[in-house]
Formats: sequence, C-alpha cells, structure tokens
Amino acid sequence: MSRIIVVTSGKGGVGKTTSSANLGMALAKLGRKVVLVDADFGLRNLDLLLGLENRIVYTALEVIARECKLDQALVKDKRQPNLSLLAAPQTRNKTAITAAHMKALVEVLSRYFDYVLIDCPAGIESGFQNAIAGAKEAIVVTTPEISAVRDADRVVGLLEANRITDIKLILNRVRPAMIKNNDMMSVEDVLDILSVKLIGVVPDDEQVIVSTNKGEPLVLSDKPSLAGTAYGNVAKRLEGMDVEFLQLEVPPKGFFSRLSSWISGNS
Amino acid sequence: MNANPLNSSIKSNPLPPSKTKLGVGDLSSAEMPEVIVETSQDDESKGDIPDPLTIADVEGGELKPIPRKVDQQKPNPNDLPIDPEIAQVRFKTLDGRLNLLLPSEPRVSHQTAAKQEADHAAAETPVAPKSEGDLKDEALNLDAKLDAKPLACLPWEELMTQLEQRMAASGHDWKPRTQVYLQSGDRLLDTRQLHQIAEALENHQLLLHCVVTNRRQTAINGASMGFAVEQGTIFKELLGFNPLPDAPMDDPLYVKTTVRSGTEIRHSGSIIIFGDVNAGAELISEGDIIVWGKLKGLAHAGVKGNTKAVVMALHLDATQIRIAGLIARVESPSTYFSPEVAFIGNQDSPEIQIVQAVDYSSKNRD
Repeated sequence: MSRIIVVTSGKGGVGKTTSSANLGMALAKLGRKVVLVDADFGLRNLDLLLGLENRIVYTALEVIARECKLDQALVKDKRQPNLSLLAAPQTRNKTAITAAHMKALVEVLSRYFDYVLIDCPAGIESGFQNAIAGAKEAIVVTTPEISAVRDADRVVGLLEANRITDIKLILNRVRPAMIKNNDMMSVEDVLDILSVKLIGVVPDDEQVIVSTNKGEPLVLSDKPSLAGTAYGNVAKRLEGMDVEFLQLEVPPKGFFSRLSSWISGNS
Repeated sequence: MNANPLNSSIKSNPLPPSKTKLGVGDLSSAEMPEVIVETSQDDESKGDIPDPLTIADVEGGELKPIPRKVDQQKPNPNDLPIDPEIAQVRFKTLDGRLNLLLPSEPRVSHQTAAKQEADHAAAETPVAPKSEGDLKDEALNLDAKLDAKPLACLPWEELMTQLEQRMAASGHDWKPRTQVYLQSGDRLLDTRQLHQIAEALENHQLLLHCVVTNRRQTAINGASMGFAVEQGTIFKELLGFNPLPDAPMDDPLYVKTTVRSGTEIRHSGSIIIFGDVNAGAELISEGDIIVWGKLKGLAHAGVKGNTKAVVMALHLDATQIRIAGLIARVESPSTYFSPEVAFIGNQDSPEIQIVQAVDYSSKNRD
C-alpha cells in the first residue's frame, strides 16, 4: 500500500521544498521507491534542490494534457535511482490544472511508487487545494515563529476539513540557543498550539543553503550535518521506526569563551 | 434570556464610549475583580490608549474615523449588511427534520436579480425597446454585477469547507442514514454542487433527502438527480432569525474539536466548545460562550446586545473578548492558568470584568 503525503505549511519560506527533497531522498536511501511531485505550478523549485533542472523535458502539465507518457515526464535521480521527480511547469500558473487532474495523476503514480510526496505551494488558494486533492496524509512544516505557526494552524484546520486527518509536524529552523534564552518558541510551545503529532525537529543549519545552491540534498552527504541527520530520522519515523529525537543541546562553552565572559563579568 | 430590560435601554440610550485599560493588574489579588475595560464619561484619551470602538465600527469591515456622536450611530442589529445567521452553514433540527441551511448569496446579487426581474417585466411591457432608461438600467446592472464579485461572502469552496468542519466538529449524534433537508433558499445550485453536498453528507452517514429552494433551476436540478424537491421560502424560525428582541435563542451549539485559526463559528444561541480555540479563530454567539479548553481567539458573547452573556474558559487568553457592545482585551501572554469568567459586572455602568470561575459563581449569581 503506497502512501501519498502532501508537504505543506501555509506560510512560504519555512522549508517545504527543502523538507520534501530531503525526505524523498532519505526514503529512497532506505530502499523505498519514491516520487516527488512538485505541485508549485509556475514557481517550481524542487528540481533545483535536487539538481535535476537541466534534465526536465516534460512536466506534469504535459502528462495531464496527454502530450507525453507518464514515464517520459518522470526524471530519475542518477545518484539514487529509487527517487523520481515529476516537475511542475514553469510557464503556467496554479490555475492551469484542477484538483481532479491532480487527484488522478497522484493515483496513477501511487501504483508505481511506495511513496508519493507532493510539494505544496504556499498559500491556501487553488494551488493548495489542488496539491492536497489526492493526498491521504500530510506533513505540515513550520518554524518556531508566531506567524508560521498561525498559518500552520489554519492549514491543519483546512486539511481536516478536507478529510486528511493523518497530519504530522516538522518543526524546522530550530535554534536551541535562542530557545534556551526564551527568545524563540520552544518545541513544546508549538505543539501546545497545533496539537499535531511531531515527526521531526530540524535545527537551523547553514549547510541547507549550501546544499540548495549545489542541488545536493543534505541527506546525500556521507557525513550529514545535524539538519541532514534530522531529515534522515524523519524518514525513519515515517517508515515506522522508533528513533529518538536529536538532542539539540547548546554546545558547552569552550574555555576561551568562558574565560572572556568571566572577564566581562557575566560568567 | 434576551429579554432583559437593559437591552432596550441600551438601544434608546447608547452606552457611553468605553475606554480600554491595558494591564491585567495584580493577578494575585484574586478577591478583587479584575477590570479590563472600564467606561468613563470624559472624552479625553489618556496617553496612547485607543479610542473606544463600537460594535458598528468593528462589524463595518472598513476602518473609518470613529464618530464622536455615538447617539445617532447606534446600530440596529437588523441593519447589518449580512444577517449573521445566514452567513454560515448550519444544521438545525425542526419538527424532527434535520435541516441543512446554506448561507444566502450576498445581497448585492439579490438586488441584481431583482433588478433583472424588473427589467424583464419592463421588457414585456410594450414600450419602445432600447429607450434611454433601459440603457441606464443596463449600466447599473453591470455595476451591480461587478460589485457583487468582491462582496461575495461565501464562495462555493469555502461553503464546502464550512460544511465539512461543521460535520466533523458537531457533537450531534445523528443516527446513520438520517435524512437531510437541504434549505438552499435563494442560492442557485447546479447538479455538480448538489452532488458534492450529497457526497459530503454521505461521508458522515447522512442522506440528502430533499432540496428546499426558492429557485426554479435549483429545483429542476435537484429533481433531475432524484432528490425530493420542495419549492418555498425558508421559515424565519428555521434561520434562527429572531424578529422580536425577546424571542428565545437557539439551542446551544456543542462543538467538540480544536477550533483553528481562520475558523469562525456563529450561532444564534450559546456556544460550547470542547477543545482549544486557537488564535485567529472567532466565536460569535447570541448567548454565552463556554470553552472547555484554552481560549486564545476572539470571543463575542451576546452579539445581539445581551449584556448578561458571559464568556468562560479553562484558560482565558483571548485576543479579544466582546460582550454585547463592549470590547476588552486580555493582556497577553496570560500566565494565569485557572478557569475564568468574563462578564459585564455592574449593569448600570457597564464594563467587562474577568474573575476566577470560583469567585464568579459565589459572587455573581443572581
């Protein structure tokens, strides 16, 4: 039984696409057949993150318009053959297809893959409605900011209204040091508001930007950074494995920093 | 409950402008009722404290300068652009029949429709066609249509979302295969839309049985799909539209879910929420509002002017509390984890007070 999961957030820029790319890659590494569907018509990014931009010939639109076969539009990742991408058209906008199209497309894909991951556009308009049309489960990505959490809350409500009740949460861009100083909402604060099952806490990581620009998902690296490990763990939890959450402790201060703070009198 | 003498007295003699006072005060002094909104007669605003708002300002939608002379501006609830009761999808049982009420389409389009009918009537009368008057009417019609678009209060998708939310959250224990009477009023429904409603109801073990409508086309569509059809108007009582100020309120609405941001629950009776009300959600009730959970959104009790309405929650951390014509805000973040009640304390000089639930029951029971 394949799983159809939409990755969504409401607010833009919280890491939907990054999460989709890394989760897809991590699941593929675990031996699952995964297809990533970019539902962000007109503003596609997923191909960039995966470094597959120059290999796209056909997009979801051509498949829907029956201008090409489905397997022609699927781009197989050479680094990880279990992973395929169905790109979004760049030249059209979100109104180019309907929810029924998307549903049919996703249903067909689910026959060939273990996981269908749908990267949802920001917002709650037609693009969102299309993206969630065929999904059975949802992963909501949010950051510990009040605006992102508020939007996530709204999205959870909309998902429930669309009968997607299996909803999991990824809390992205967490900065433990800031939480410790009470400058950032803690994981508990966010869970308290959203009351959704937590499936991953991903720390803020500069490597994300590097990997985005290089087109290499974090989880591909041999020595994944903390964020990469976190995404790997999310994939394992999706697979039903029981993985401990990463200990995102503030690294203890080194001797010199302790010395300097002692000198400045803060100790 | 609506029939308090104060209600009418407020109408004839409007409330003095209220002043919001920030600051929750000393929380430790539990025996002192905590005053959040106080009313005062002087018009001078203190510091950066905002001027008082009346409900008319809030409901109007657009920001406008707050009128100094409130006397003439006192709103009659019946004058509101859209009657709250018809603005939302609702279920209502009447005479053993489960009715599903659909919100009416915006008034502007009604006017357009009325106008069109008038035009048709005009066209039938043997007057020379394309007179200047007709052309003028055409232009007007066009304007009305253009206006109607942005004003459309509830697009179809949103209506369906509301329907789903209502069904998912309702504490009603409808028997499986309960027959539903769809009260669609003036709303034009095509077969696809009727099918969608039937499907949504079916997912919750409900059966669309009958389509009650004012529109001939909707009736034809319903009949062609094999539903029973009734043509006629929705009874006022079914809408919960109280023509008399002292008419009884609806039965309480019991909702068992987390009310999330963007969700609005309106009811012409008391609202009981078994779950949290998150920031960004709105509860609007003609009676009391009881939240068995955290109340972080907006709560408006006694929306038709019932000053005896109360708002109570296990954790009262609302963005805003409104009771009848008064507005209060709770200073956030509230760290006060104890059930609290917001009510209008002194009925002679109205102000919203918040006290611990324990104190409320002992001190404020009539």
